[in-house]
Amino acid sequence: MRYVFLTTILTLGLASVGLAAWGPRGCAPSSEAVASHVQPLDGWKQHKGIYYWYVKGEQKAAYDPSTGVYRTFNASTASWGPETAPPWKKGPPTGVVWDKVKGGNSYSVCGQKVGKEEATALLTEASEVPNDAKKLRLTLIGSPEECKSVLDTLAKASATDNVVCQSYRPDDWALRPGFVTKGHPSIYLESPDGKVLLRQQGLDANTVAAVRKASPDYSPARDPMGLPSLDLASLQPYWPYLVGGGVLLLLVILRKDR
Amino acid sequence: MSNTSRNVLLVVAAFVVGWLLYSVCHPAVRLPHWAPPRLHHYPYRTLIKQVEPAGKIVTGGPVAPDGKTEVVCDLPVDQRKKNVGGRDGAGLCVFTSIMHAARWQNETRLANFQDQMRNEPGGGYPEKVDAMVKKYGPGTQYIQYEGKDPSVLEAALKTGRMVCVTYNGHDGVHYGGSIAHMVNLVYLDNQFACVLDNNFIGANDLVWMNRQDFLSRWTGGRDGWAVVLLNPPPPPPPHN
Repeated sequence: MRYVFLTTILTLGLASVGLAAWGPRGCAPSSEAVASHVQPLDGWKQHKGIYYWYVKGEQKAAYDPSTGVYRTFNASTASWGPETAPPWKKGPPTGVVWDKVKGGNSYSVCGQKVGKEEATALLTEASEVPNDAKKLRLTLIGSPEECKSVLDTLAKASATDNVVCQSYRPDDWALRPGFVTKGHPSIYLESPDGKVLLRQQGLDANTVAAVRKASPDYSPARDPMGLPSLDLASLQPYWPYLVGGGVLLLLVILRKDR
Repeated sequence: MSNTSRNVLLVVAAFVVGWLLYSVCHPAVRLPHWAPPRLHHYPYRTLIKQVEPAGKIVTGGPVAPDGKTEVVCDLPVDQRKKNVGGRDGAGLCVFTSIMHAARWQNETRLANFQDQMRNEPGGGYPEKVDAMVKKYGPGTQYIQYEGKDPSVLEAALKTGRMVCVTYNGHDGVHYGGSIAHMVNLVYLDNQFACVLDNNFIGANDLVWMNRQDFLSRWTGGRDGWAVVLLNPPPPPPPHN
């Protein structure tokens, strides 16, 4: 009898849960039950030492405390954002959009892409960055008009071809190491190490000649004497000369045979 | 225990068992659990590659820790300018670095580049530099390099020019973690490198490190970026 009673109670209990869950209108309450049970994942979840940030079930970012690196995550494209400091440790401003640095050993000069071969050639010839470290330094100190006038005069006489020219206003920081700035303009010609070769207050007749002849690299002893030597490297590519020579030789041989 | 108590307990037990059976067996209902349905694991490999053990990185003035080596480009402190944000708050480190180089090399068109850029959105990359130089300093001669070859940096410094270079931080001096930053390279040889960081512009805020430490921070585990203005450096101090 007792077992019959217990079985009845148990069956009623189970049935009561079912009724409570499904209710009189079929499935409707069950969706409410689902909503209350399945909480979308929100907040930080740790996994193997890395923290992952979720908002409404969608992964938004990750943070690695061992390196202090924070990265956002775009769930729709499954792609990671750039490595940054976490937003709660906002440091000083930076500003490189590293993802837009394409890399690949590419060079550009004033916005114009140059090819790898060209760039390599430029590099080996050290002309990509002008190799002017050994050139004389011509410094003009005065108003823009005064400097331009002197520079134009020197340029007309080709006196500025092999010197590095700069013009400065008298109050410029670059003149602090002792430059005299009272000329109109002051003209300095220095060797690359700073030795003053010429200093004048304003342009005069000697300035052009002085700038033109001053070259620290020039040595008359190194001038080539006698017959000019043939620079074979300037003949590249060689094949037109070889073909031409071969045709000439063939013509000579054929003429001899006749 | 009386029969009544036992029966009450059985009723409670029946309800609990019923609820559990219902929760487990019904297909629409699952107990809440924290494990994400699809976990996108953190890209460990990138990190391992990027974060290399640092040598001794120190701050200082224009002379290296060896007491002999001096920076090539010693921009006076009053010519340095602290980095700020652009119109949208993103940083202007790229344009501040270019401005430093412009001041060093008397490129007057870009001597106040940072001020001009405050009206633009922050953040910088090669194409944006092309556009902004064209807008605010038309005619400026410059080169850009993207890659891992430091020879362009060396060529620029050899001729006294200041180089703007990417820098990914985690130096333990100014930055604990990775950053996407641009600074000025003011010295580089086989032993030392020195950078002028536009976030720390004091006389003794230059960051000295060994060459390899610098190169790994320049490339940031991928490719580095460098901008070099072609105007010549300032004249050497005059002497007899």
